[in-house]
Amino acid sequence: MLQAVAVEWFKLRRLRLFRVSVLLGIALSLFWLAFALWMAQRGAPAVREQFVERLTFPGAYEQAFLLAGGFGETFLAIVTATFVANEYSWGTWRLILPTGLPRWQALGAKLLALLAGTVVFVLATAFVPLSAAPLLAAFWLDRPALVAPDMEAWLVAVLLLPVRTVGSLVAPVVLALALTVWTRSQSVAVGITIGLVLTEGVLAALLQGLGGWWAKIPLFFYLWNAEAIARTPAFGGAVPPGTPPLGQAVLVVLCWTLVLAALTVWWFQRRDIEVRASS
Amino acid sequence: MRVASVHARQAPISAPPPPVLEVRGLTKRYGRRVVLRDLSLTLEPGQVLGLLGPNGAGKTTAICALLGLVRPDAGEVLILGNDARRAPQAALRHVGALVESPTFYPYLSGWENLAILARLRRVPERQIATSLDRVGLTQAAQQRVGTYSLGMRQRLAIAAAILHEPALLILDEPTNGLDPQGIVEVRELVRSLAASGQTILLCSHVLAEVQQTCSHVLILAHGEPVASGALADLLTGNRTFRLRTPERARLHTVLQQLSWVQVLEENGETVRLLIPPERQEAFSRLLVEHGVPVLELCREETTLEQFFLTMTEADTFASGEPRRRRSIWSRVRG
Repeated sequence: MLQAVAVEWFKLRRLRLFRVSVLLGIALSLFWLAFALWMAQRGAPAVREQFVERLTFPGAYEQAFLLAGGFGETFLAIVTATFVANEYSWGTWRLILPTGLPRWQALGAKLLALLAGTVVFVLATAFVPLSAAPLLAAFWLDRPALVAPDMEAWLVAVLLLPVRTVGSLVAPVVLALALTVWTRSQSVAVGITIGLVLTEGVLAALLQGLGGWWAKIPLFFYLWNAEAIARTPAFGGAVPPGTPPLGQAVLVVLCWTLVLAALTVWWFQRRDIEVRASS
Repeated sequence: MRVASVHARQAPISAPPPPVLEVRGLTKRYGRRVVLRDLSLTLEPGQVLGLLGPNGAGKTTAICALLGLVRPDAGEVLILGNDARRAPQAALRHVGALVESPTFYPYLSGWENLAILARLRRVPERQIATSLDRVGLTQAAQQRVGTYSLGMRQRLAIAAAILHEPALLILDEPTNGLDPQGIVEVRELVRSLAASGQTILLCSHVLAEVQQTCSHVLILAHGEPVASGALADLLTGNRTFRLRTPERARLHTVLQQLSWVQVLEENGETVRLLIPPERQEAFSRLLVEHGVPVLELCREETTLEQFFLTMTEADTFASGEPRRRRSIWSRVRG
């Protein structure tokens, strides 16, 4: 299994789309930094204060991972669908599976490699605003570069936030992987996953607006709960209204992930690998 | 002590080594359509089996079922005694395969593609250089596979198949897409592998190539084996004779008494006859006894191509429905 994971990780890190996605994540973070800096200096006073908070510690730390989580939902869904669909369109399952590698291991190794890719994406995307924050604070915002926090209280939050961000991105990755294996189509998987990323929040708000039993339905939404894992404030502060509690969100995401992974492996074990001419 | 020493001196009766490949009753259906029906074969070490059949006969399905890419509805595949379905890792590590068109990761180099396989098969990396050298791809090893010609990919696929020096090599159309020089090179490679004792299952439409390379053949039509056996037996077991005689009437009188001779074709002085191998001498004697003048009596030499066409065309057109399996050739054994 370890050999299979190493092989999949090698394939993923050499995939151009993955590299472009990481670079795009970094580029968008830079763009956000420039925008936030401009707003912090030239925005209306109330708005200015909000952006200053996001550009200085500890807000910058939280903001950096929020950005990584936000961009990751879309980019990693595309990378996942492409990474898996390529095996069908290039016919390379025919190269890998006749080595005797059990199918569940082939799929499991792919998922683990994608999760490693998720960690790289999150850290790379979050690194830019994190490294820039002290410089911005000192040179442009006239704030202390580093605050002296209550380290004991912060330590858990500082360690947990990257884990929570990566954990929240497991959902779109697993969903895109499952949809690609079921449909063997990259576009269907990307379309459905991104469609759900965009619409689940709106649908949840609508159902919560209806009240009663309707309001309880979003509690079982996969991606909405995953977003809640990332969006729960790390250093205290108000939880956005309607957001499910962290513990419940983790449980729902875990259950969905296990069910989807099990169904996908079951499906993959049963399906024939089609032989078709490659280009 | 004495008993123990006697036991120690007795050499254990070793069981015969299992066949390299043993297939029993392999069947595959897609919905109602049966694409492979009750395929059974045994391949002993060193045999080179040509798997033949018209397009859609079920050759690739059979190969995919052997490799675990297609789930058979019934049947069993044993590779060196290991069940390919229950223990794929143990079974398939002895197999190297090229299935139809070669498939690789186009964004990786030839070397990297083989490195992936080497890692999965736990083969030392030095084997990669040996395999690439064997197929003449050393110069292009660091190029991306996306830039390879079809012929280069085909060679890389063969390198991938022989990378771990498998006990069984499955080659499905290995000369597809190659230029004449490439075809000759691949043919030479397959022959040299066969000569070195490598067990090979070769699937090809180039029957001359199969005839030159294979020791055994199995012909599939409509998913069913229609003929199989040692190539020498199939082709020298010819029963077709050409007889030229000016006395057709006298010949017919003789033939009316012989229920075991079948007239295939009559054309002027020439008659084509089907005579069982064990009655050929008796037939000659009877012609002499009955005073039939014989201008020419010779056995028609059949090429694999003619044999293949006879088997597959008869199967297609004879009775409107596929012919049942010929039981006498049901197993391929040396």
